[in-house]
Formats: sequence, structure tokens, C-alpha cells
Amino acid sequence: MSQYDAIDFTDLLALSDAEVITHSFVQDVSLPSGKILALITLDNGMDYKRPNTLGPQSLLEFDRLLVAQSDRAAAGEIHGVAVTGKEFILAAGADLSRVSDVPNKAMAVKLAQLGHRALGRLDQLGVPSFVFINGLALGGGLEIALNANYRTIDANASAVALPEVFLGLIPGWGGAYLLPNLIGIENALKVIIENPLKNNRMLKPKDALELGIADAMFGSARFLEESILWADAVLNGQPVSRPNQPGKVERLAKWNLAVNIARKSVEEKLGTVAKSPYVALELLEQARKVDKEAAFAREDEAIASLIVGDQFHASMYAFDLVQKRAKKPAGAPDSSLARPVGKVGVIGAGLMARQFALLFYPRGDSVHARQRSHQFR
Amino acid sequence: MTAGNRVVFVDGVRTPFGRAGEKGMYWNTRADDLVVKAMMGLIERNPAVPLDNIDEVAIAATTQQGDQGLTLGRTAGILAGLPRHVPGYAIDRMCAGAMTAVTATAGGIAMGAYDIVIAGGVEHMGRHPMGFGADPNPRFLSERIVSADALNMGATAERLHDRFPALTKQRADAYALRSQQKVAAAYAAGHIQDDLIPISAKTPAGWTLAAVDEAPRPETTLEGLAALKTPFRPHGRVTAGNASGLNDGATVCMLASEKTATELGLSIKMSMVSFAFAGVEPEVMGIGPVPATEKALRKAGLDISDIGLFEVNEAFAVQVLAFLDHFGIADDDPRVNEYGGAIALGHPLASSGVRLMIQLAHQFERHPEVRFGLTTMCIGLGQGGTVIWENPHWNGAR
Repeated sequence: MSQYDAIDFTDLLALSDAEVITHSFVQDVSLPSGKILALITLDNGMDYKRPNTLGPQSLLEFDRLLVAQSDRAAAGEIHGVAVTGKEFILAAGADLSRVSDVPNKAMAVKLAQLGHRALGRLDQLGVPSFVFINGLALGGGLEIALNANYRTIDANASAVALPEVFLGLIPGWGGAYLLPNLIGIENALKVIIENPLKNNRMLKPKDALELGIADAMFGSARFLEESILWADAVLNGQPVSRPNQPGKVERLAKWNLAVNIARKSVEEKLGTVAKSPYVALELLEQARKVDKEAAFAREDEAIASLIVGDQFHASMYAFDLVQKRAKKPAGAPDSSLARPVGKVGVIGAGLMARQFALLFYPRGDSVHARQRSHQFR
Repeated sequence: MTAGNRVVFVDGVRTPFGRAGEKGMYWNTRADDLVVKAMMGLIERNPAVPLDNIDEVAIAATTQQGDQGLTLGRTAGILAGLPRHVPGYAIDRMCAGAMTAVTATAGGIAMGAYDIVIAGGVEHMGRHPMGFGADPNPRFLSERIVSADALNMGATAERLHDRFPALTKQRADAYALRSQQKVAAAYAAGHIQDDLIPISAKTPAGWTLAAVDEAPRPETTLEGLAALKTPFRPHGRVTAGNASGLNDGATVCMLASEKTATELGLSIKMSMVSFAFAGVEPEVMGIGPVPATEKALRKAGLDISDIGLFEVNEAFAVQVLAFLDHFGIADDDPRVNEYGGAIALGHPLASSGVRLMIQLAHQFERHPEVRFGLTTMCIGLGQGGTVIWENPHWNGAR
């Protein structure tokens, strides 16, 4: 997006002193047709337990690499650009670890703008762009794919979703505009509003293919090889059908109706206090008519307002507590220090002791409960 | 119940061969994935083959451990998506692993036990160096059964130079240079690429697609070759330039009875005429192709002059020259290794046998004037293996 080119993002680096950087690598692949595909790999250098995330430094690196690719495309050196991830992971989205520390709304706007600038380049390379969704693709990770021209998906990708509304945000790197214009308003409402509010339900690769998020799906064993061959076919004119892409009738007749129905349903389920679903609904409604530049600008404003608001902070606190900390309790000693537990003894068999016994029951070999009186309360 | 079926080579493919080691393109790629992907590529380009009817999967590897162990033929078959009822097993005959996978299953086809089989081999010498973890019986040395350096392939090649003084380093280097040039020419003509299955490979700088062999050095010169060190002996003759390197790669092919292939309308690229293996002194294992070929010719009722195309594995230039000298064939005879050989392409031990067959099959199609061809290779620990093939495209009078 040209509107973002002049912005200086260096002040965002203050928010990324501890960022685990997702690096962007590029390798040229010679296609059977003789064309050259620049294949970009996103890789933070860690195993699948630490998925790729996109913080300011990661985005700036990706942005620079894409600028270089558009120069190469202009020089005729490459005929397409594809992006894929490290093993099992495309990207798990924006790096949210420091988002709660964003000091003011202006910085929050910049965070959104940087994502729009970097990811938006995938549609301005001068050559077709592809994202090979080789694994986990959440939030901003999936938005990388939505910003590209074509997408393939691994039949065993672990999860695909736009969970922002679940966290009190909105898909703010193009998702709220690009998705409904790709797969139709009803499908987009399902992915952006309905699923996140159903306890953050995710899509399976097959669903992503049926909805039209991905244009083609391949098995894991030769996913990258087949995706590259498919890209070569597309670069050489093979048509890609998108039956769910909204037509005129849908835009005129169905669009607002669908948004209104969804809004009613959210009102009934949630009431009107939670902001993010309504902000998302508004963006989805506008996605029918505004152009991309305007839509991205609205996303910047919308997500920035949410980031600096109380609800998102409360939501992040809750998310950390019940999701992150449940998996990895804060301050817990390293699990390698733990000694194996064989028998567990519980003294007492009252309400609490019984629950302890039950808690330990599947974890040790046996659980013995004793109390002074044989009579259970 | 011996059926006496004729065995045909339906099709064969391979991965591009990589250089072994940390800088090689397959350093981060599993050995089993190499052979699985080659197998999937083979199946994909032969859609007329009913997968349910595949009777056996035989996959060879020399160092069967880790990602190259665990009954490769079975695990690779499952991973490649073959039906669960298709059985499989693993094979080891060092460098002739894939060749043995072919001959063993061909025997089963001739017997009538199999209709269609998949045979191949894989060697990831970067992850599994030759002989790694092996524990040779001490009797070999204490009873002086073999010399201590019989397992050092370079030393066996030096010994071959000793035994045949006419095989000079100059001849070996000139042969090696031609191998490089022939591979470059075959690539330029597109003869090699036809049968390569590209493999995605992760490098420290992201994913890439390995679509061509990594080892060839088309820039090789005689002067360059002459200047190389002789690591196996001071003032020796064997160098990295006139020997095959350490490589990673996999090959697979499909064999069938002629009857089944005809019924299903499968391609028939070659027909098997005979095969033979023969043992020689381990200290000069490179001479192995000579007795193996004599035996295979005898069994086929053929003479060396009947053979119109040769695919000789180039473990070492000297070992090919010893074979050629024995049969009175010139060093630069155009019938020998038309597309070049392992000196340039690489020799991922247990996979190389099927590479020879893939190249011979490709040449058969282009040489309808040739009726018979052979694939032969020397084998570590002192063996040779030879398979003689007939060209179905032969246009002469039967």
C-alpha cells in the first residue's frame, strides 16, 4: 500500500527488545516451465513448540525482502513469489507478547500499519504471489496468505483460524476486508465472528479448502513439491476457480442482510458490552463497498482503538491465565527437574482430599487415601 | 509351480543426488523421505498400475540404522500411501543394494510369486557414513582372512592400479574428465532430468527444491584433476576427482511380469535377460564386475560382443578401466556410460544399481539398433553384480 511507504517505523523497535525474530529467507526455484519462483521461508529458528510470530523486527525483515523481490520482478529475474513456513508452522500471528505495553494509540496504529505495509506487498509485487500454508496459520499468519494472490494448504495443517475476536481484537492486517471478498460474507462471518465466539473454534484444512480460503490442498509428504508444481501451472495460465467469491447479487442483496443477522445473533449471545465483535461486524459490512486502501486504513484505526482499550488488556490477562499459564504455569520449576511419582498418598478423605485423590488418580501408579475414621462424610 | 515368467522393467525414477555432509542439499532431509518421495513420484507417473496388485516392495540401504533402518521396504511403502496389504522388506548388498532388490524381486516374478513389484535403494551417506557403527568380526584380521584396509574402498582401488600397471593415473583422470563432460552433455540434452523426482529440502536459508544433481563439476579440467591429492597413498593414483564422491539419494523402479505389464498396458522399457553376482578378493573389490559379467553372459548364452550399451557404475575410474581392458573395450567407447556416471553424478551406495537401469532404459529408447545392454557394478567386500537387459524397442530381425 503506497500510503504506508513513507512511514518511519523505527520507534516500534522499542517494543521488540525481546522479540523472537521470524526471519525471512529466499531461495530461487527453477520451475519445470523454465520460470523462476522466489520461495520465501519464514523461520524463527526454533522448533514447532515456539511457532513463528510476527513482531516489528520480523515484519520489517519480511517487508525488506518483499521490496527486493518486487525489484527483481521488475527486472524480469523472477516470475512469481511464494511464501511458506518452517516445519508444521506457517505463522501463529502477530507477536502479542508486548502488545499490552503499547504506550499510546499512535503506536498501536503504527503496529497495524506495519503489518498492512509488509503483508500488503504480496499483492503489489508485479508478479503473482502464492502462500503455501504448510501448517499452523492463525490470525496474522493466515492474513499473510489472504494478502497473496493464491493459496495452497497442507492436508494436515494443524489449525487455520482468525481468532482475533476471541481475544478482543479484529483481523487487522487485511483479514476483515480480504476474507469476505474472497469467500463471501456468510463464510467470512463464520470464520471471523462465529467460530471465535464458539470458544475459539478453528478450521481444519478441508474446511479451509471448501470455504475457498485455499485454492488447492495437497498431502503432507510432498506438499511443497506439489504446491510448487501447482504454482507453475497457475503461472502458465491454469485457471483457478473460486465459486464462493461474492458476485454482484451477493453484494447487493445478501451482504447487509447477513451482517445484520450475525449482529442480532451476537447481541443475543453476548449482549452489547464486548466491543470487538461489533467492530469486526462493522468492518465486514463496509468491506462490501470500500476499496482496499480505505479498508486497510479503517482496520488500522479500529484495531488501534481496541489495543489501547481496557477490554483487550483484560482479555490478554485472562488469556494468559487460562490458556498460556495452564500449559506452562508461571514460576513453575523446569519439568526436567521433576522426579517420577509412583504412589500418591492422601491423608484424609473429606471433600477436598477426595478431589486431590481424583486429581492424582491418573498420574501415578496408585493413589492411597486414608482417614482416621472409616466413616466417609 | 515355477512359472518362468519374463520380467520387464516398467519404469524407474530417482531423486537428484546430493553431496553428503553438512553443506549438502539433503543434510536436513531424512533418508526415508527421499525414498518415499521417489516412490510417490513413480506411482504418480504410472497411473495405470493398480496399487492393490503390487506384491512386494524391496528397498535397499547399506547402513540400516536410524531413519534408514526399520525394514525400509515396509515403512516406505506405508509412508508412500501403498495399501496396507502390500508387503515390503529391506535389503543390503552394499553398493549393489538396489540392484539386488531388482534381481531378488525379479526372481520372484519369474517364479510366479509376484506380478508387480517396487524395488529400489537409498543411501544418505551424510547421515549414515559407510560402515558406521559396524563391528567387523576380529577373525578377519587375526586369521588374516582379509587385509586390514579391505574396507577402505580407496585402498582397494589403489591396489587395482598395482595389479594392472597399464591402468595409469593419466588414463583414470582422462576417463573421469569424460564422465563429467558426458553428464554435462546429457543434462544439456535433457536426458537425465526426465527421470528425476524433485525433492523439497530445508537449508539454513529456507526451503529449496532440489531438482538437479548436486555433485557434477562440469568445469573439471585434466590439469585440475592432475593436481588433486591422492589421499589413500602417498604418490598414489586415486583422487577425489577420479572416484565417485560421498552422496545422498534414492532410486526406485517398478518391475512386472511381461504378461501383467501387457494386460495392464504398462510401459515396458527393458526386459531382463539374466543376472549374476560373483565374489572376488575383497582387497581388489573393483574387479568384481568382470566375473559377474562373464557369469551373466554365460547364463544368457551371449557374448560380450552382443552387448550394445553398457552402464558401468563408476565407483572408481580404475575399476571401470579394469573392466573395459578385460573385455577389450576402448576407454572412450561410446557404448559405455553414454550419459556419464557416478564419478560426476555421485554414488549413494545402495541406490546406484537402479540409477544404472534408469539410464540404460533411457538409452534403449534412443538406440533401437541395440538389442542387448548391461548394467554392472563393483561391490564393497569383494563382489560384482551384472544384469543383462534386452531392448523392447530393438528394430532388428528376431
